[in-house]
Amino acid sequence: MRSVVLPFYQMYAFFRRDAVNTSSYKLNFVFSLAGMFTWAITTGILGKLTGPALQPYIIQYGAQNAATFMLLGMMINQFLQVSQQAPLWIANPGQLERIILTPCPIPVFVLGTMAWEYFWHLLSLVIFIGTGVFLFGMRLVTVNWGTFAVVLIMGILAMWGLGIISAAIQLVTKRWDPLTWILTSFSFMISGVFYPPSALNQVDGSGALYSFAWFLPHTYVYHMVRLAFGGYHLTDPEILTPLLKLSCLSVGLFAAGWFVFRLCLKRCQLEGSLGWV
Amino acid sequence: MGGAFLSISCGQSGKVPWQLGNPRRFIDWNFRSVGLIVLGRVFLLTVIHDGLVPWLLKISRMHGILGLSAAAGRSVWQTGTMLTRAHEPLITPAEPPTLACARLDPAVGKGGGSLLAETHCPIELSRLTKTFTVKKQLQEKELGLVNLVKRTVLRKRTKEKLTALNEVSFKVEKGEIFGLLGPNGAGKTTLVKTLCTLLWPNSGTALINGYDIRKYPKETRRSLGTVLDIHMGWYGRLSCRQNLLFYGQLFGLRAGDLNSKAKEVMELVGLSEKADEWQQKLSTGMKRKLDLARALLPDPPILLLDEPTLGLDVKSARDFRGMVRDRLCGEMGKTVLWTTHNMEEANKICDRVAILHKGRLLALGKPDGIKQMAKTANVVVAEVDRADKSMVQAMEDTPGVRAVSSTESKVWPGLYTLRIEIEDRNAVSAISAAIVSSGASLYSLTMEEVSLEDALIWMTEGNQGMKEDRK
Repeated sequence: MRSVVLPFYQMYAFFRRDAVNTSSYKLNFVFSLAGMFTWAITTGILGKLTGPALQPYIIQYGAQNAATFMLLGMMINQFLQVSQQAPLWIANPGQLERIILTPCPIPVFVLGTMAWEYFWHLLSLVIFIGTGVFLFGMRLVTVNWGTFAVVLIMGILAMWGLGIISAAIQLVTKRWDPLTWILTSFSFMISGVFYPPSALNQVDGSGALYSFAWFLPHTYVYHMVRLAFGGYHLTDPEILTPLLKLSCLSVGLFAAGWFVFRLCLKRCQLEGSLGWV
Repeated sequence: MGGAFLSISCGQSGKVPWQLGNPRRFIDWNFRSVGLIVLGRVFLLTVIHDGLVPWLLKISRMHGILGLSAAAGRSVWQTGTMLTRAHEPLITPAEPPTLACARLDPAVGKGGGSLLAETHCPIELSRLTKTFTVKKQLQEKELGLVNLVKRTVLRKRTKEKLTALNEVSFKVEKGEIFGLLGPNGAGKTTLVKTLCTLLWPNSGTALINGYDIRKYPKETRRSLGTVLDIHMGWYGRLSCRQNLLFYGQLFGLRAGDLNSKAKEVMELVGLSEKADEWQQKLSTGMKRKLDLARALLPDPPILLLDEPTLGLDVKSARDFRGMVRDRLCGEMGKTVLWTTHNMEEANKICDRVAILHKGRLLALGKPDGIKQMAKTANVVVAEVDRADKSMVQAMEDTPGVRAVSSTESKVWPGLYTLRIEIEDRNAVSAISAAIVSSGASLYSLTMEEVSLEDALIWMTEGNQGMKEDRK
């Protein structure tokens, strides 16, 4: 029984540590909350202004308006980014070395380190949805929350895979990993944060950007979350097919990430560079 | 990759074959897509079989990862039997001739590990070796564009092996404070990090509390409390208590015991008054104590202290040493491995010391024994008010005296220091009688002692052979 509870107990330790640490910066804490609110309003306004231009492309997502489209994009983007970047914190020099000296398993360390960030971004999700509902006409009655949750979880899993690969690279290179840079830049540009990938065909006649967008797991998540907000069910082919693709991608990336991470960790233990900066 | 592959096989248009209308197009589409799938799979299999697997095996062998799969825990790919077998010839730890026992089943030790307490030493090392691959330093003649191209493009001879630990073997008894001495770069920290499984040894065996560090890294860590040479893993804006509670939870201390345990270790190291102070506000000495408090939290039987008094003032260092010697070892019976390059400190606190130099163990024994090893001659130092030729001659003629030299003090004219090398201590009384009979005043007469520092310098600079004091 204790062995089942212990990982959660250890994860709670990380959560409490980060909660105490974050709330100790009181002013920053308050202004971060206020910042989320202003950012949500800015995104909503941007959506309102660009609405007419976006309308032909977002009609596939149901009755949601352009402001909702953008708010969802930003909201999910934050979740995906934290999922991708959180594993990088474990590569902090000193921290990993110290945690290895405790009996805490590395997966618990990884999840525990991310726990607070998820809580924080859940708060941001509530603020974004609240802003959308009260100021920009977001409709929650049509949302299929089950689909939304499944898609979000699959997206998070895929991002963990990428994030763990990035952390592994950073364990070796210490400062920089190309993967995070490439994915963050490209996902903003082509995955559908502010506009759907199909809109790219207007600027790129060859369709190369559109095709490339579907190589990124981010694209699937944005696409399916918006469909879920439009009321689509998990069994609908519009969701099921990309979900299957994303699942394969998630499992593959996660397994690959974990394998590469263990490989890089052992390499650091062999060359003694675990504590290097 | 998987996603891309699926995207291609399902068609970018999102249209399924029966939506394409024309049956011919359907057949074409189907034929092309099946061909693409077959080709893709053949390509993938070829890449995996001919490229990826040999590459992974090579990398794993190079870094000694295959044999570590058991230690690394449950690998996602369960590299398991095949890979472990592939690695077998690479790790061939020599059977340690001196090991009292090796704990074979980790389950035996669970719940206190007292079963083997009577039969094993807390720390046992046998021919432990650790090498690093480092970038080769360029010689002046090797500089230049051609060599640069060779090194960067062709990667010729750009790396070399550095042996940080070279077949180090020793045992530490229960309740003992064992000092590991050596100049900078001797390999002390590497040894500590290897013992606490932060570094992976290349060969040899190390048992901590009976557990082989390579086979049972988790059990090894549970047996150890570690204070490393830098203040790592602290959260500056958490109080000392909060930091300790965090680590207590990671160590798996029960919620009910957590507060009392944190309080207990803070009292033990003298940090009770600073319990609610932010960690970043503590002085260096206090931070060191907090390091020790964290190491003591899970109540480990063995402590590895890497230069624990580094940066402490004289009084704090003395208090720290006293606490380790009297409370932790004396009362609680813990075993301590203490690394330092402060010879005075080692002399005061350690029951036995080992001198490490360039990864090799040069000497092992009690501090006095080590000093005796470095003592090449018995020397008597006499301070007298005159030292003319006739007197020096008289001294040299005294039975048991080998050589005499005299120097006049520059600070105090008229005060002479005689260094008299003698064969044995029986000559001392004859020397004092000779001085008095020559009419000189004798101010002091002392036997010159070899310090541990002298011994270290003598060994590291002049004598490379392994010495062991078996007294």
